Amino acid sequence: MSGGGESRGILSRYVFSLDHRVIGLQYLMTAMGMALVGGLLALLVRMQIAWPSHEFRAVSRLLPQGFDEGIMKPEFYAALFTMHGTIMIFFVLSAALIGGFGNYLIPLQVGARDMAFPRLNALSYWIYLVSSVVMLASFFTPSGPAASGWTAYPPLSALKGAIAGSNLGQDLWLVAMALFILSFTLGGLNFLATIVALRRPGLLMMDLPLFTWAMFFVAILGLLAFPSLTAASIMLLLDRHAGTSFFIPTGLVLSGEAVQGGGGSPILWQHLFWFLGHPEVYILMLPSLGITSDLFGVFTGRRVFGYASMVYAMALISGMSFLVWGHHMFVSGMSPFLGSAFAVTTTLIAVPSGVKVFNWIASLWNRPLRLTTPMLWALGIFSLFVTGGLSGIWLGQTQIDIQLHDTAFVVAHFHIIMAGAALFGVFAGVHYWFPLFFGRLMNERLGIAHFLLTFVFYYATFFPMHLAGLQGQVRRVYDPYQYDYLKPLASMNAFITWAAVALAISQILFFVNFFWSLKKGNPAGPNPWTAPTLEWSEPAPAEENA
Amino acid sequence: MRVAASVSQGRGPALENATRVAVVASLGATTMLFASLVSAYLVRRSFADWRPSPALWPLGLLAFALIASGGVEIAARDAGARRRLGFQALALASGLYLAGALGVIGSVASAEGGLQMPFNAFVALLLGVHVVHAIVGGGFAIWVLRVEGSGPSDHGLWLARLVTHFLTALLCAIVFLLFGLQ
Repeated sequence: MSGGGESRGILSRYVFSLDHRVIGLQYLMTAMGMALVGGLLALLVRMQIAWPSHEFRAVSRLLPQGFDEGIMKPEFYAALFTMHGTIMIFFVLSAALIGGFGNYLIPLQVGARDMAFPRLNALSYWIYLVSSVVMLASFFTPSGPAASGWTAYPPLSALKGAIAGSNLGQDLWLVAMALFILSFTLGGLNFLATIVALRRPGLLMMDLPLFTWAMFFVAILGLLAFPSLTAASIMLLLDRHAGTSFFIPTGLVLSGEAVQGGGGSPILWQHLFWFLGHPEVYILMLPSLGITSDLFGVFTGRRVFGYASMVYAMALISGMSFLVWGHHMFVSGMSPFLGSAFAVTTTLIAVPSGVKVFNWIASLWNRPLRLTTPMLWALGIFSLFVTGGLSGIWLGQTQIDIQLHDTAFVVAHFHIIMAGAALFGVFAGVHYWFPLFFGRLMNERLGIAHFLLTFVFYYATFFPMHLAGLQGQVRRVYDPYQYDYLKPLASMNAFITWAAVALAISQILFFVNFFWSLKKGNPAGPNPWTAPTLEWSEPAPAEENA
Repeated sequence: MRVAASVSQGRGPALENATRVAVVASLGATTMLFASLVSAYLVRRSFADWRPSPALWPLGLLAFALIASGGVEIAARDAGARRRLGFQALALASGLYLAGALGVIGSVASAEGGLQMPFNAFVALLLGVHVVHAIVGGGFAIWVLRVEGSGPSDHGLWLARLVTHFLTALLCAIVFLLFGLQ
C-alpha cells in the first residue's frame, strides 16, 4: 500500500462505486447480513411458540431487555415477529433479488454498458443501507423496536405508548420504510429506463431472458404499489406526531384515559397497506419465477416451453395483483358482494400461474436434465410454487378464509409460496451466477447437500403449520397453550421449532461454500453452464466499467 | 453530470429516451401516491362527522401555479432577455406558491379544531405532499432548462413542460377535490 491515493482508489472502486456490478454485490452482501438478523429473530419466535413458559437463561443473558427472569416478555415477542417479517420481506428478499441480481444482471442481459443513471443507482443502494441501519437501530432504543406486526396495523401503531414498541421504535420503523421505498423507487426507475431504452440494437423485448422480464414487471409493480404505503406512512406519522386522526377511531381508552381526537378509520390503513402488500408478494416472487424459467431453459438445453405465454402470464399476474388486496381483509367487515369480487379476482390469478406451471412441466418433459445445484434450487422453487399456490386457492375463498384468517395456516401458506420461493430464488441465483460474479464455481457437493437439507427442513418447518392452523392455532399469540384447545398441539409446535433449528443450521453450509468458493472454488471459464444469454458473453469476472 | 449534459445538449438519444422513460414512470408513481391520498380523502369525507370549511384562498394558489407553469414556457423559448424574464417569473411565482401553500397549512393547523378536524388534516396533507413534489419537480425543470448558450433542447423543454404541467394539473385536481366538491 503506497498511501492515500491507492486507498481512495479502493474506496471508489469497491465502496463508493457507480458500477452496477459492484452495487449489485453491495446489495447482495448487505441483504445476507440482514438475513442473519432476520433468521435469528425467527428462531426466537419459534422458541417462544414451542416452549412459552420455559426459562431460557442463556438467551436471556444475551438479550436481557427481552426477558424477565429467563422468560420472554410478551412485548419482546411482538417486536420479534414484527421485525422478522419486516426485515425478511423488504430488507432481505426484496433487496437480494431485486437490488442484488437486478443491478448486476439487467445491464448485462440487455447488452448495456451500465444502468441508465449510475449515480442514481449508487444513491439507491446507500439509501437502502441507511434504511437498514435505521431499522436495526430501533433495537437499541429504550423501549425497543416496533411491535405492531409487519403490517403495522393502527391503532396499535398510531398511538404512542400503546405498548413498548409503539414509541420511538415505531417511528424508526416508519422512517426506515420511507427510506426503503425511496431507494426502491430510484432503483425501479433505473431498471425501467435501462430495459426499455438501453437495449443493445437489434435486441427485441421478446428476446430478453425471463429474469429481465420479471425485473421489468417488478419495477412497474414497485413504482405503482409502493406509493400507497408511502401515503399511509405519511398519514400514520401525522397521526403520531401532528395530532391528526386519519387512522385513530373514536372511543379508544389508553391507560385509563380517553384518546384525544378520533373519528378515523383503522380499516383505511388496511386498504392502503394491502394495496401495496399483495403486489409486494409478486415483487418477491416474479424474480424467482423468472430465474426458474431461465434455468429450466439452460439445464434442459432448450429454451423454456411457451416463452411468449410466460411473458404474458407475468404481465397478467402483475396487473391482477392490483385487484386482489381485499382478500387480506375478508374479516374486516367488508360487504359480502365486495368479498365475492375479491375472491373471484384472487382465483383468476391461478390462471396465469397455472400457465407457468404447465409450461414448466412441458419444459422438463422428456428432456435430459442436468441436475446441477442451480437446477435443483429451480426445481425446489417449482415445488414450493405449486404447494403454496394450492393453499392460496383455499385462502382466496371468503368462506374458508374467514375460518383460517390469522391462523398458522396462513403463516404456512405465505412462507411456502412467497418467502420460500423467493429464498430459493436467491440460492438458485447465487449458485448460478457465482461464476459471473467471482470467476469461480461454487462447490457442487456442498451445494447439493445444502439444497437437500434446506428443502427437507423447509417443508418440515412449514408444512405442519397447515395442520396447526386447521386445528385453530392463531398466529402472533404469546402463549398458545393458555387456550386448552391448543394444548394438544404442543408436540407439533416443538417439532416445527426443531425443524426450524435444523433449517438454520443447514444454512451454515451455504456460507461455508460461499466464502470457501470465493478463494478456492474451481475457475469457472467464460460460460460454465453453456447458457445462451448475453451476460455470459462478458469475461468472468466482469471488469469494471468506470 | 452525464445525464444533464445529454439531456440539455441533445446528445445520446438512448439516454434521452431513458430519461423520458424515467420521468414518465416517476410521474406514474406520483399519480399513484396522490390517488392513494385522494382515495383516503374520499372515504373519510363520507363519514357522518365530516365538516368542510369553505374558503377562497386556494384560488390564489392555483393562479400562482399557473403563472409558474407559464414561466417555464417563456424561459424555455429562446435565449436572451425573454428567457431571463421567464426564469424570474418562474422563481417569483414558485416562491409565492410555496409561501401561500405553507401559509394555508399553517392556517388550518392553527384554526379551531386544528389538525384534529379531518378536513383541516386533509388540506394540510394534500397540499404538504404537493409542495414537496413541486420543490422536487421545479428543481428538475430548472435543472434541465439551465444550459449555457442557445437554450434548451427540444427534449429538455419537453421534460420541463411535462413535469410542470403535471404538477399544475395535480394542484388543480387537489383544490377542486378539497373545495369544489363540498
